[in-house]
Amino acid sequence: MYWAQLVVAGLFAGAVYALYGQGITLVYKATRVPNFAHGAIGTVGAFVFFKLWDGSAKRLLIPWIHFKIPFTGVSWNPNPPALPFAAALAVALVISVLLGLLVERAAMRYLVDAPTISLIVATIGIFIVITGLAIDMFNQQTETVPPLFNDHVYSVGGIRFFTTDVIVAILALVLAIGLGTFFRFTNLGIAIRATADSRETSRLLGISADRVAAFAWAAGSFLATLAAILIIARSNRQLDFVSLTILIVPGFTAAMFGGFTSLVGTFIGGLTLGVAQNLFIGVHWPTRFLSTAFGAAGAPQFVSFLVVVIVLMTRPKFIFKGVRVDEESGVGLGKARSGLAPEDQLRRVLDRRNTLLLLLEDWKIGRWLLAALCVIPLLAIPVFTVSYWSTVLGSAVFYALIVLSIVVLTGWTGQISLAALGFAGAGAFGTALLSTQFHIPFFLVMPMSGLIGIPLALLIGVPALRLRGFFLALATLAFMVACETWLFPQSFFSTHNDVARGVLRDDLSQPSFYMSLAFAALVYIGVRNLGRTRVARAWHAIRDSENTAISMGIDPVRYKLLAFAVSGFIAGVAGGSFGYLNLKIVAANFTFFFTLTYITAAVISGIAMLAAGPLAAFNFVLLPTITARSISGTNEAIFIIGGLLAVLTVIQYPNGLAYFYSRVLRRFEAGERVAWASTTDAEGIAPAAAGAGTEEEEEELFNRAAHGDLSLPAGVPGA
Amino acid sequence: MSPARELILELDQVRASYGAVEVLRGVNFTVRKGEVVALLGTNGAGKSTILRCVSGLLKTDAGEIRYEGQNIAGMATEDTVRLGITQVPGGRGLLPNLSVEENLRMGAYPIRRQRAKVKAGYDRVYGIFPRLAERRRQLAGLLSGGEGQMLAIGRALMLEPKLMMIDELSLGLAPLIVQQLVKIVRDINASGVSIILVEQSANLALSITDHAYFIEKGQLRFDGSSKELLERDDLLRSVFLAAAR
Repeated sequence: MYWAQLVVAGLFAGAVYALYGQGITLVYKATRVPNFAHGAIGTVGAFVFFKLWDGSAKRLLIPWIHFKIPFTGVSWNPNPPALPFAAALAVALVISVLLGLLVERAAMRYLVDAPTISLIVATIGIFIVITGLAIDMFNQQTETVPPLFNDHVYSVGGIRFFTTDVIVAILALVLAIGLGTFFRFTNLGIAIRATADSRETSRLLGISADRVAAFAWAAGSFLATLAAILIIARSNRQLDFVSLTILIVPGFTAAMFGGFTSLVGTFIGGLTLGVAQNLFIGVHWPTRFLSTAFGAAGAPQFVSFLVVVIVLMTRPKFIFKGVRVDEESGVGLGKARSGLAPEDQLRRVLDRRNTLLLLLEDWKIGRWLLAALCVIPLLAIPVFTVSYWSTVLGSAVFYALIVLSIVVLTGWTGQISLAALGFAGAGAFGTALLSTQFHIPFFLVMPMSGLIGIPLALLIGVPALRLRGFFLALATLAFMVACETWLFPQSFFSTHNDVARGVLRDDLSQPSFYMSLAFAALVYIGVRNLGRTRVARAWHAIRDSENTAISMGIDPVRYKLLAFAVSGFIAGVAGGSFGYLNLKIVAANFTFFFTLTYITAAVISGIAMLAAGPLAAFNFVLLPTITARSISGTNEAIFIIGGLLAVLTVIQYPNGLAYFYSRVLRRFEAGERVAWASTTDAEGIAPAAAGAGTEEEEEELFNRAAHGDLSLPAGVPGA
Repeated sequence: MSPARELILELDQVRASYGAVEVLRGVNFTVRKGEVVALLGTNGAGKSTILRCVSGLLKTDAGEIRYEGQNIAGMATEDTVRLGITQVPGGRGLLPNLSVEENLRMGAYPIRRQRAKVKAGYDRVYGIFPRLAERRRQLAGLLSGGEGQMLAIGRALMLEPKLMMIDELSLGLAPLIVQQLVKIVRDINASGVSIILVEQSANLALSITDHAYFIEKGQLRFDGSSKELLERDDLLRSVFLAAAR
């Protein structure tokens, strides 16, 4: 009976995952976009519903909606009208559908052929923008909402469940069957599958691929809102922006069971995951160690991670039959959209006025000047000012190191990893242990914290060997969430999370800042040198085409694991510097949400360039901190601006800022200036490519042929 | 092919480019109603790009594409299909995870609400290609090369097109199958459909077409009646060998 109850409870919990996963499957199936914004769109719909519905609106702490114009302080707080249940639901659904259409039209339409990393970062950017705007608009605190239905408790053979449970389960089942039928038998459904198969072929058949994508986003957003309202009603009835985003992992896991194509598979996957989690929690573990470890609050996320890894590693036929598993790494340098690349346009303008040559000549000195301009304040400010600034600069160093670790693993090696803060967290908690338990001095703990990051990175690196593109991102995401919610909050870590000061002064921010700055500089120089070796060339080869790399004799196992190890080391050192700067380490510092913001920062700054590290730290830590003191509202706006920037970057210039700078400041290539002098760009390029030797001969031959003089000149083959 | 016959398609100084590289540099050519026309040329000459411009997959930079007197340059692909221009894409271009019948159904997507017409389309295609009827429930990705090409042609017939563009009829197919397909293309043409055939195999193309155009580096180099060109195999050889150098 105990087990039966667990299974039933697991089924009902799993129905929630299924419901959430079905919207994800729908969008992925139609557009190949892994939608990280799914939860955010649904949450907006849920907020609209609960603010409008007369059953709940009066009981909210903040019943009004808050509109404001950023940076001005002008705002307007209207009370929305109270509507009956059906009307409120309809308005919420309509608004979420419009939101989905907006996302498709304004962003995703321009990313049709984009690599996976761009799609991931674009939806993360949208997720950040929506969340940032909606928190301002709807609430600043968690609300408790009344139940949707008069919940009856049913009891069948001693197993208890509620009305809402049954409604969620039935809806998920109906959707699975209904959508499955839709995709099999209707013209629109088949057209969506056709577009997913080959966009170009579908267009040749008269299917408007844009309209199909718009429909998928609208329907996906509709499902997201429906799911969000029901999930909030079913669980603890807490209305906030956090709880639904964390569902992204079970939602993606459920969708994975359907191979991101089968709605019925998604349904079954959700149920399987729910039951697996419940059974795992229900087990009476034999030893005290195991029962504290696996009985912790985050155990379901740990189970999710296990399930994701097992399924992706074994790739059972019944799931992956006909599923397009990514062949490519999903990371690549973008191409110019049309005509000259922006960096070449800028070079051309500069060159016309002869500034570029001067700039390039001076750049040899200029780079040292720039370096001095950067380094002197870094060294001087902490000495002359309050410790606040050394803390700020310290977090900038942390930021730069995390981005650097992403550059090595994702930008250089093409392994899309969403687990950077997992490695950093390991380094941070390691710092706490080493300094308090083993009393190891400060300057030794820092490199050792890097070494602690390595095994954790290899732990996910090994399953990652078989995965590419989006599926790798999914596995690392599950890993990150398991670290955040299960590993780091373990009672062992939360009782050993103080970092011993270990040095004379009370205020550690100054010495730890200098220490981490020194280590960051060492790491930067080390990685820069590594970038000029055979190892880095092997990494680039794996990124650009793993199959080709293998055929050239590059051992992907060795080099991928090496990339994970290096990335883990860098992130571990970052974690160490974080530990000394904050003196108390909590799991809340290392969340998957923050990891997502680091990935977007890395892509905006140029994910394949080392300079992205310092650049990201400047743009996303120092600049906001400096401006926040003079311009009001900058801090809240920084997330939204960052999200918008991410979307804009992947659409307009996927190579990022650092790439742009380096391309502008590079030396002249052979013939480059000559090509600018010619009348049109295309003609400057084409003759060079065509091989001019035989051209006149051919020209003559064809002219004669065209004028009806078909006799061939002597010496031409065939005459 | 009396000169009095009306034009169905006319390209006038069409230019198009991929990024910074100009691929078509002022192409002119015409197709008359009921005619079969070959577009010949080596790899990268721009043959398939011409088809992409006509179908609207690629926006032209300049020039006019007149279809039945109407300028369709810059028109969306969905709309050119509705006008009766269908394409058999190169490299098969099937929808591999859809069944054979679903592929055909998508071929009739613009007329999906005219159930009777769609039904007639199935019957016509299955009549021409009985093999497809046997395999209607099979996934298109599992068909053999020849069956795949039959499906691609059949799918393009679902709409009752006026102009059919075939990109690489014979590529990678056994000679026996190519012969069957040639006969079917002739039958389709006999039923009144104008056809543009893009081919690498000049002999094959000249044997089934009325008129041939030679494309070289994005421009029309010369054209002529297929019959005459076929007799001048010395010329053909020189063109292809000169271009290959």
